[in-house]
Amino acid sequence: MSRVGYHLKRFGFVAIGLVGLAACAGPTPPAEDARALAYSQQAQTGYQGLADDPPGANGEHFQQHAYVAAGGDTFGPDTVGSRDLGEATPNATRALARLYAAFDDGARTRNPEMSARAQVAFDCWIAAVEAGESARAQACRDDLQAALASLAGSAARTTVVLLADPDDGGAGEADLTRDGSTETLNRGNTGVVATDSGLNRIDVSGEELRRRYGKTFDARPQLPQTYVVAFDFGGAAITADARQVLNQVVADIRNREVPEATIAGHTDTVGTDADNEALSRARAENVQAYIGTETGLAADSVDIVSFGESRLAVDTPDETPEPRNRRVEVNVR
Amino acid sequence: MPRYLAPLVLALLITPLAANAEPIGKVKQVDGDANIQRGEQAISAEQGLAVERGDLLVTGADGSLGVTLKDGTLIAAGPNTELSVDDFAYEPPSGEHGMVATLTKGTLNYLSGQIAEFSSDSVAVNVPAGTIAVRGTHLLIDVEPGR
Repeated sequence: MSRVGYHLKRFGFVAIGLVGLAACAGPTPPAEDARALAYSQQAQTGYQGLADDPPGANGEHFQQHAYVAAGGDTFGPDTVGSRDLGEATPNATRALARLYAAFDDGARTRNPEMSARAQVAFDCWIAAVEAGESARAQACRDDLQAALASLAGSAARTTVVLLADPDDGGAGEADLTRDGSTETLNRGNTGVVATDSGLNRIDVSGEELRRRYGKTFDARPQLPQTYVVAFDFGGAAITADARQVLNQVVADIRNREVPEATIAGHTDTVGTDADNEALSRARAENVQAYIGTETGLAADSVDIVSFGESRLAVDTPDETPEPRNRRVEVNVR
Repeated sequence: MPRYLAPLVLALLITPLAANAEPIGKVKQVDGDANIQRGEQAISAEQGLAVERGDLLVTGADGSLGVTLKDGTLIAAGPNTELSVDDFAYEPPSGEHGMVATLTKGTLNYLSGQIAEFSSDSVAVNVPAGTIAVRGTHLLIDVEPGR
């Protein structure tokens, strides 16, 4: 291992030396664009630093790297095989694979400075390991890890926050499930964050949410509003009391830029299901007619539903007169 | 049935209707760059535009979009968002209720309507990290796709 490493190292050295000469001999550094230049400059600075204060006897080695970088050529990190790394070989191999993966992913175009920094740190690390300079090796490895983390970019991340209800301040319930593991949220301003490393609970403040997601909250449409219109026993006519509520409905509709309404008719339990279905429909249609006349709200912006006695506001036995069940619920949205 | 299966079962129960032009909601608020992608067609979002099942709501870096669905569900999509309403069924008084949406990136502020009230475990939001089962009421979901 040691001897093979030695030969590869020599070979690498000579090859880079030649490239360096060629680059120096060329007319203009092929700095094709600002990004390539940024990469070269950062690489040159980094390698020059290593040349001036080399791990082990690598001054000349890194000086050559600095020259090549100064010439504007892009080149890769030293190979693992070029160093005698002993037990650190697997770690170095993995790190190099990560570095190349980042490069393949366009890191040198996206973030040329950080790419050069990562490469210099890698070369520094394996040189220091080979030279037995453990503190230096650790420092360079830390730098490499930081650069790699930065090149990997922000990891995919999903945040789910349960918020207080806007009307009553209570909170509903929701859960996030991934790969069979579930986190349930049932308190306001609590959340769960899913990243590659798993699901984590968080608490968030209202101000923080407002700061981060203000634009999203501002896009939320106006809250829907429900109004209950009462009817006389067995009747579908709009009463004076009903008119008072309906005038609130009318005002609400006029206040909205894109108003729509769902009008749901209901009865109490007196009478047959079929009769009550028809009665609840007649009530709903009378309400629609009133609203339509007052607001000009088009029929295609209105949904009419007749529930008969199937959805009581107040539970009663069958054949029970109950004013609170004789109603039309108007939901304006 | 394990709770986490509910959205899957739900997805199977609600049959998507192909080429259904019936509106399921309307655009109530628009700001900046906001579109509705419907099949091959990209429609510039404007107040009052009908939203249909299967529509993909797309906003740009400065865009946002607010939609109210027929059951009163409020959906607000923040900037840089892609949100599709894959399934929506609201058939009172007797029918099946449910909603399935998918947020591939960006932010969603969700406030549940009648569907979540009528039948719990009938609202699901798919995100790249998994599935969110919504039993009410008010949620903020943020999907950062990473890079």
